[in-house]
Amino acid sequence: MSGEVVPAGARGEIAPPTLFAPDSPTLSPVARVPGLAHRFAVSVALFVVALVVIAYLPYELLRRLEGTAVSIAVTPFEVLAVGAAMSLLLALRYLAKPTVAYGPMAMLTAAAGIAYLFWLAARATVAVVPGHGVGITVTYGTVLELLAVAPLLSLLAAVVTTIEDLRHPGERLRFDYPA
Amino acid sequence: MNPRPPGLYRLSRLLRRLSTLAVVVVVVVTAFAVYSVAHVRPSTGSGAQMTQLLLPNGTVELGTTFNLSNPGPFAFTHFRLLALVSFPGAGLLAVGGSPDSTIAGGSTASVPLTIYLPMAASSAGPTLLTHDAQLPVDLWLNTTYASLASAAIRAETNYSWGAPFDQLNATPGPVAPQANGTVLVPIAVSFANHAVFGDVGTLSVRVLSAGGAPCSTTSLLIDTPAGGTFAQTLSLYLGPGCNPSGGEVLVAYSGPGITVAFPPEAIP
Repeated sequence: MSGEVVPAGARGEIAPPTLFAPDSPTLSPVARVPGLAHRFAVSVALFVVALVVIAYLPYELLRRLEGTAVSIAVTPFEVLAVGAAMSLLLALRYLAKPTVAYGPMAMLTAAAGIAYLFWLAARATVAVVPGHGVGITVTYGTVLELLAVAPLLSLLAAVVTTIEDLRHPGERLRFDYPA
Repeated sequence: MNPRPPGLYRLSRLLRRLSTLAVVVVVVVTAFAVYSVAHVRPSTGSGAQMTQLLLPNGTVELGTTFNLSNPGPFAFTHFRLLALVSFPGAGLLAVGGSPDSTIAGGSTASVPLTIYLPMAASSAGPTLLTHDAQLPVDLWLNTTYASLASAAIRAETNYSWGAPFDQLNATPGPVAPQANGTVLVPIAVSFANHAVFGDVGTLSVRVLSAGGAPCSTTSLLIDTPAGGTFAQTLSLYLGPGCNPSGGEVLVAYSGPGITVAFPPEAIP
């Protein structure tokens, strides 16, 4: 089903024709929109990869640091839970890409990313007590706040996409999924 | 060939690309900063020894320098040292520190750390004049690197204080009545100068009777270099009406800007 050349918005269950009708005279009437099953499979793969990268690996790192001379203000479970939620949002965002839900989904994902980074920034302190009367505390919240620029730009992109979907439904499909 | 995407699409795509670029830039800069800070080499000037200087206001200045080689491109800002010196059993004795410094990238800087011990004004001052001590020091280093991360490093250490009048003794010898009616009291004064500055000034010795009445006073100039010892017996002649038995010997030191009375010694 993937890669099939179809008229933009012709898959009612994916991109309702009423919203994604190729009404722009500059657009080609066709787009290679992946089917729901294909997108679902990719979404699951994306979810698994994201789960490993942004949830499991940080969880495992923090878990291994427990009981050592290094202490971090975030618990492994918190990172695992928020990372899993973020992974789910990323997967759902991909799943919704050919639909009008993509813009709001992308906004939600970006907003969650910003909130997550600022939440982490407020707890971005590592304390190391190697012994012998020495203690080291490092605060790196600025790095995470700067990193929040990325989801902020993504949020703006999602707003623009939402506006585009509302003003010209289906317009972007031809470029997101070129035939 | 596809037509040019519409404006909103291009704007959204540009923002997404900038977002990716932002991630790459922040990650690369952070990684580079971590790599750079791993090459920073701290050291203390003149080994771990602190210089000592007796100031005219009766304060001992302890000084050292903290050298930092910063080969990376990022600067240390708000680089500050803070030292809290305690006296065992008497709490905080002195606070010292360094000026707020910036250490530019690719440079080596020497940050001075200065601690002032108020010998005359401190309750522990007389003890420190006559006894060596291990003074607990809480050393703090605060700084921000590359404007990205700040660090606070705490190190507990001890400072070996060398007393300028270590083991000062003013020991009265046997009282010897003289033919002219006076009484000779020999007083052996000794100490070792363990400080790194010389003892220059006046030692005054007073003998009080058992009732606390002053019997006799003498003084002598001293100039004992750092690491030297002093041992001298003074002869004090007391008047006929003054019985030193049961009294005490009082020794005081007057140096540049400082006068300290040492604990009294009883006369048998």
